[in-house]
Amino acid sequence: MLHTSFDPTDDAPTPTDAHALIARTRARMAARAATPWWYPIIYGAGVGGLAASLALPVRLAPLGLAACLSVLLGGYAAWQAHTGLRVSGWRAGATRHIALRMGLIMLSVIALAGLSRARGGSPLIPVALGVLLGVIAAQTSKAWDRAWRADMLSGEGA
Amino acid sequence: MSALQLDPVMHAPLRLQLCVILSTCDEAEFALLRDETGVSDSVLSKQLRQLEDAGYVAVRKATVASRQRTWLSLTRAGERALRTYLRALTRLTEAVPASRR
Repeated sequence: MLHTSFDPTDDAPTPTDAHALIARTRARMAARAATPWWYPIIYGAGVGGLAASLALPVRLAPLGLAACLSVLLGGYAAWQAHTGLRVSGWRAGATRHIALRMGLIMLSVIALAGLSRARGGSPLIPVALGVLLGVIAAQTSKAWDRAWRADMLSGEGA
Repeated sequence: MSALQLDPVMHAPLRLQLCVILSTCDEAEFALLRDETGVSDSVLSKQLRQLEDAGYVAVRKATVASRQRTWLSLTRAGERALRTYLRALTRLTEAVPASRR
């Protein structure tokens, strides 16, 4: 709970009080919104799994992709329940560049894995690419979280 | 409203705090807003209704696992109003001598 020197409902704050309130609120939200340790792991596993599932036989690949999408959606739902927040990866601010970069890397690696399989390459190639993509995704998730919280503190992206 | 006038809807600590919280995300759950502001459900509902009436906040109710949850978000008008308020507040602070702040 925030402790302010004025009635929090209707008393008009002085400009200094208002600035202090805004700064405190942003700082509290930045601390509260810290992503739990398990989220980047789930995100990395889900995203990496999208590429790795292309190692499966053609008729099973859609099942693998669906399972990975379920992991991603389930992870996001769990994060949402944990934080009480909903946030889009595409929100304005520094996070948008990170989301765009991750989207491009993800599509490129999945395309590469698909191409490799289409040309009769070893199933180990999509698996290796999936592991690489998973690590990148987990790190990107942490970077996105840091950028989001930095945006909160500075008031960017609001 | 002149550049140095503050939006009266926004210029109340609790409503300002709610708008700042909502500006950090796409949606926030009612329970989070209550925890962060430390006010009762009824006080929070009243303040949110004022923001909703001003067109600054949108309310969405969703049922998850047979439990209803209320999600709040800033509307485009709310985002604009907050940006305008923050600009006016900065100008006002700069215009007032430090000894009178």
